[in-house]
Amino acid sequence: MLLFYFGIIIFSILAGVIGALVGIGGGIVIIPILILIFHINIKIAIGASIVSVIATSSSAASVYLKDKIINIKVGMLLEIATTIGAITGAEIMGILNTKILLFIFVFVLLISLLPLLKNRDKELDENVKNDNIANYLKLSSSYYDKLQNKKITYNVTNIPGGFVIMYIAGLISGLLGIGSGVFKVLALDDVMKLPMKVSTTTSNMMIGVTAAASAFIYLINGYINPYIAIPVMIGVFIGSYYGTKLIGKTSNVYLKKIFILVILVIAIEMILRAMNIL
Amino acid sequence: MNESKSNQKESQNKDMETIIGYTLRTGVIVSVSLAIIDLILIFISGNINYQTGSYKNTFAFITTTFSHLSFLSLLFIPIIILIATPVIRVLMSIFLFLKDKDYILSITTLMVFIILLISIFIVA
Repeated sequence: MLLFYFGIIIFSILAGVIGALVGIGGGIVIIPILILIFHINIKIAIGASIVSVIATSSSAASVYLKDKIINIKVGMLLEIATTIGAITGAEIMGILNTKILLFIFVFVLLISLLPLLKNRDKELDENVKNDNIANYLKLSSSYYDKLQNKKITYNVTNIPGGFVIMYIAGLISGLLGIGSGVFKVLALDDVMKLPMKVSTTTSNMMIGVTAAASAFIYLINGYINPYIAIPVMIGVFIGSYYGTKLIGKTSNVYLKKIFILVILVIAIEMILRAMNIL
Repeated sequence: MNESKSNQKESQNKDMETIIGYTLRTGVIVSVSLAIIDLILIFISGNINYQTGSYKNTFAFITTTFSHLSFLSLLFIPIIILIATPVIRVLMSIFLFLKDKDYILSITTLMVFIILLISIFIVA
């Protein structure tokens, strides 16, 4: 029992460090580990993950709020979509059987790798125009970019499109117990054309609130087992804390390549598990 | 005149962000600290056999888990504090945005809060 527990803590710390370094989040990394190595039921793994997601998102958001990069208005508006999505997702998760959940998880895991292959250091599109909703709600804003040493002013477009993607992001979060930051950034950055830094920090602020909407449903339905959730939450929290401090000190390109390879192996293992071959 | 007005607004926003950030940090620190104590208790007790069960609603969960202070209720306390942290943060934001006279943002935040309440008390 001691070994089992130490194992969960060590792997949770590792998942937190890697999740923070690669920028994919700790939840999506710890779930396959809990399933494949510790033979924990996927729904209990999902319940433990959502608790760790709230811990890391809340502590990260408290730091970003100080830097004033987050666009609180855009975040709050879209949280309407993500929380409704999260409720839908958590309810569907309760109905689905383990096998289908495993397949969906692998599918989302593989999609989440795509942004890692893309170069994110692109220039801000200067020609973005506010749409009517953004004008009415005065969503355009600005932030101070420390690297470029200047104030960057930006507009916000395609709110309806962003709303739809955010609903899906919330649904995935509630269905699989992950932060689904990848999908939130997709909505903010690619659909609504916010600057990358604003997208990632605003997404992080939204993750905790979205996760809370599904966490209570998990709790009542009995998917949060405190004996598993507590060591996972502590481990991922500590891991993410140190992972965030390591950013910039390690070679990211090399790390991302190894990470993609490891995830591919995990994906194959999970599919074999779902098909009862493993 | 305009300059000082915008400075004043800026400082209010700063206060607001500090308060929200402080709430989040406090919730996480309290929860993680209690969780570490729980972890030590689990190690001492050496027992991890627990079958999760489902409950009719949040009230049923709370009354069953906390009717008497058992080992299990001690384990659920840090988890509930943590999940409640973003909810409290949203609730506080409503009042802070109202104080800032940003009514559109207050209504938006109120809607998020209502959805969270629905998830806690109706859907679950």
